[in-house]
Amino acid sequence: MSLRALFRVELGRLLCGRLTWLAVAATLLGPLAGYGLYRPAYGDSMASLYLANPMLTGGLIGAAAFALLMLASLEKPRRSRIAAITDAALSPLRLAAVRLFSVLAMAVLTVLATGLLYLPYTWYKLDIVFSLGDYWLATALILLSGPVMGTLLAAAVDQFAYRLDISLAVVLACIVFSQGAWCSRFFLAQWCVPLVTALSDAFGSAVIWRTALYSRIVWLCLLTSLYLLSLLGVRQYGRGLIGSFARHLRFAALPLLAATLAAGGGILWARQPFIDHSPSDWMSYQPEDRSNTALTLAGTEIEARIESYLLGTLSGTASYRITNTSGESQELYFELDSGYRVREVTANGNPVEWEDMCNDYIAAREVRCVLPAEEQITLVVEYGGMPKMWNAQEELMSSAGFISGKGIELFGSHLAPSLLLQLAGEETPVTLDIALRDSMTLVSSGTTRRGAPNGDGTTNWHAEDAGAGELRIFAGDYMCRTLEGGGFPIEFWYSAKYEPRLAGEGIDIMQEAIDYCTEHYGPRTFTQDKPFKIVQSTVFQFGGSASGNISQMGESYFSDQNLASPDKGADSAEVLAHEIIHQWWGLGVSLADMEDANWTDEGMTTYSTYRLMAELKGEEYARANYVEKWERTTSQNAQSFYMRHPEYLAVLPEAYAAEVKAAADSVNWYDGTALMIYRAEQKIGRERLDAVLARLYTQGGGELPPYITLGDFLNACDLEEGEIGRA
Amino acid sequence: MKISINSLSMTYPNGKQALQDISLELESPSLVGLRGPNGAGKPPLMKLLVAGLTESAGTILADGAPLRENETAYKRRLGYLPQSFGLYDELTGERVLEYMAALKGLHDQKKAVQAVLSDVNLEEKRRARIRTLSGGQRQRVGIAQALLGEPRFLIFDEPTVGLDPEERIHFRNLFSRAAQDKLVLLSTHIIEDVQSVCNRLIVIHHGRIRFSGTPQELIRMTRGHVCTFSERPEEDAALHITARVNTADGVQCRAVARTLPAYAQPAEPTLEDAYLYLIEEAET
Repeated sequence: MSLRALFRVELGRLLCGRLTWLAVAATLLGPLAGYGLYRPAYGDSMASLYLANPMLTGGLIGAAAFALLMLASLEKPRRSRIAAITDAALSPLRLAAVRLFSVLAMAVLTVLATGLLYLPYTWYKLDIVFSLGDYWLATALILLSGPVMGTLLAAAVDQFAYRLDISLAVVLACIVFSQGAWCSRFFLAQWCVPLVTALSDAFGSAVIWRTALYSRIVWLCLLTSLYLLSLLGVRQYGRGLIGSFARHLRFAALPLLAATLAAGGGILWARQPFIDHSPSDWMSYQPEDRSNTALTLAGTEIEARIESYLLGTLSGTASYRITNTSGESQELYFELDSGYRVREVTANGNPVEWEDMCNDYIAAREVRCVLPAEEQITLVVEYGGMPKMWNAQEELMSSAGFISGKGIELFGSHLAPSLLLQLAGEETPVTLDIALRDSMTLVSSGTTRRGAPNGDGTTNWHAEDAGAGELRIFAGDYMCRTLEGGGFPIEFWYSAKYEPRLAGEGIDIMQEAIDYCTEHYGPRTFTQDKPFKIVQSTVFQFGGSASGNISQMGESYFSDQNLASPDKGADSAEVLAHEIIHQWWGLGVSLADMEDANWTDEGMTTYSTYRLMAELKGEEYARANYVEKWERTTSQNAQSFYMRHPEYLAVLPEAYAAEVKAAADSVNWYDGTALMIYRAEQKIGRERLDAVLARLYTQGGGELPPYITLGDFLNACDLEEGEIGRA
Repeated sequence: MKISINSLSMTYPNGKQALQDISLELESPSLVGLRGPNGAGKPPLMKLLVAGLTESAGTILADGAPLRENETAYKRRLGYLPQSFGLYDELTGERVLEYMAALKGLHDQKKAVQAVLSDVNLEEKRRARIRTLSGGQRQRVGIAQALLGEPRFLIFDEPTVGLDPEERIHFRNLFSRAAQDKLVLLSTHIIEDVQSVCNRLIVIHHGRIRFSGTPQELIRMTRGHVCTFSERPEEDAALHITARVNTADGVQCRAVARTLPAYAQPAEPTLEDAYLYLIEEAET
């Protein structure tokens, strides 16, 4: 029996069926829905919008389409009674397997065609951030996954049920369930297409690719196992499910292989290496204070090695100079990323026993060791592994630390063991030596120095800092522009991919924004020795954050979608200015009010952008593009049907109501609050308002410290509640 | 090819017994006719012979080897046309046959397909989709797929149903030719098919073999039990009337009976008479 010939004719038969072409067409057109109708990825980077969403949507539609094709392919011989002939020529089990492989082959060909079809448009849209490797990875791991998994599940279910209607209902229910709220919290629960919350434009999406591949392997094991079991249930000899099952058990290899694959899938599921095991009630969990006051840290030297960019693994040797003033042996705890394991601990060259507390908490766990009574101790910890993700952020796939060939971000216990003791002083040094790919540039919270190339494609880097006790590092194809901020340098580190986008007036306007904010509100807290660094970071950080002298700007700020956002500025350069102003309003200080949810940083930032544009382009331009726009949108919002009749909003389906509410919130946050501040300016005068804002920026709020509430603002302006409104 | 059926019984899961203690030897070359009333057990027997059912008791040996243990090899030597079957409507006749040739693992599929298309007179329609073919033409595609690869054991269940008389004669001759070096089992209600080409006849009734021998033997067994007479007003319960013919002298009846009545004239039995007599006897 030539299985190849059999496969060829079965594939040929499939190609003659209308349903086959319907499945092909659905899969080919599926990604179109991902551009607008259905956007499962949260991230708004270019790759999320124009690669992840279309691929996810195409994968889901492909799953349903090919599941239907598989069901029809199995149902047709039964319905048309051709099985009466074919079963006499060949074992129905073999024929069932050939039918599966034919549909799978059709799925692979269709996905390949779909990949080729959307390649030019995706390339065009992603432009400077397009990566051919990422494109085909997305095609293979996301788009292909749907049809393959859908086909496997459909075949398995049908071979048990032998009923098209039941099988179809089960498969569709499983697809819908996989996209439901419960499954979206666990990357392994997504059987149909992997959990992809975003794709990075500039710093690689290694975490996504790794988890996607891993979950695909798990589900291939589980579904193949289910399929092999279902093969035993293929009806033969005129028997039903149980009779056929019992009869086919003589093919011992099938159940054995099914059991092996099921066990393999189960073990892979249980031992997944990506997500930590933090307690689910982490908000109420109070970690013990393990800090040892009898020990002081005089200095830290870290030698880190990237073991594999592909797997994202790191090993390191951290050497700590510790002073023990107690004269007794001391218990020391240190925190380490949950994905790392301690390999060896020595104190003054002597091995030290350690105990992994296995108490995962926010992607880190504690390790306990006992230090000798000696006064001066050099503690050396050898460790290594792959950084894990905090399970509370699994649904966002937002990892505290990550390592990939395109980007690295590590800090604290994700870079090296973080000792729970006192720092010896404000100048306690910490150094890091690490070899990175030649194409990478190291950015750290301290100073960095590029060393000599090693000749193996890597270059040594040295980083050092003082006083913080730990380092925060970023690596990627970073470029730096130095901006001036109140006499001190501000380093703006961004991916070289964005150079064309920033080369025009983008950088200039960022400088103008810094100057404006420094002059009107005050400088950010940085010094000549330790410059303030604005670092473009991966989309998986979703927006921005600040820590010490580092302020991160998520790469989604630089996406076309964000740069074209009319809420933030009239053009992309003005949007960049808006994002820089967020370094003051949002990261420097923040606005919040328990009684007014619309009193947010966005409004203050939008108002400041208006003021900046008034200085740069004139009051007339600023009024037309900002104030009049705010008045227009707030007026439209106030007059909208659902704002006038909120009782109807309450009876709308949840999804529509959320959409309406989100649109209204956006207007209130950006335009409404900006308009309130503008009206305050009209009442108390521009100069006085600037003084109020400068005072609030430098001193913070009083009602809900450190936040600045609406009450703080009104008090500072000597205004009463209700004197200024959004409408 | 030699098929040995030993003490074969088959009971459905609902308890209905389809076959009871059947023993048979079938050997090529031979064209065996299989007859029996509806519900007699012909389809179960044929399904057992194509490994479509499992026996409740007994064994089937193909060339001395148990069928169950050599199912794959056995199926390669088998050609089967069920009474009720379907085809992939979206394919052409030629593609259906290529598909079946691949299923049978034939090496030179094109050649094999051409050969059977010629055998069933379907060369002109080979590119026509199945859905466009008439019932007779579909039946011919069904016969062609059974003939693919010159299997050594052919099983046909009512193969000439739906064919016009000319086609039936053509296929009758085709089966006869095939039986020159193969074993052919032909289940049919059309007595002419059996009478003209079968060298052996098996009659099955209520799941048991009632007769196994040549048609001539069956006819001989019935001599003295067939008669004709003019229709009478009163019914004779001992007679089983097999035909009524209107003639110029009134209605002439043909009947079978264990003992012929005095008023009837003995007649030379036909195969149909012999079959009916056998079934009648089995019923009583």
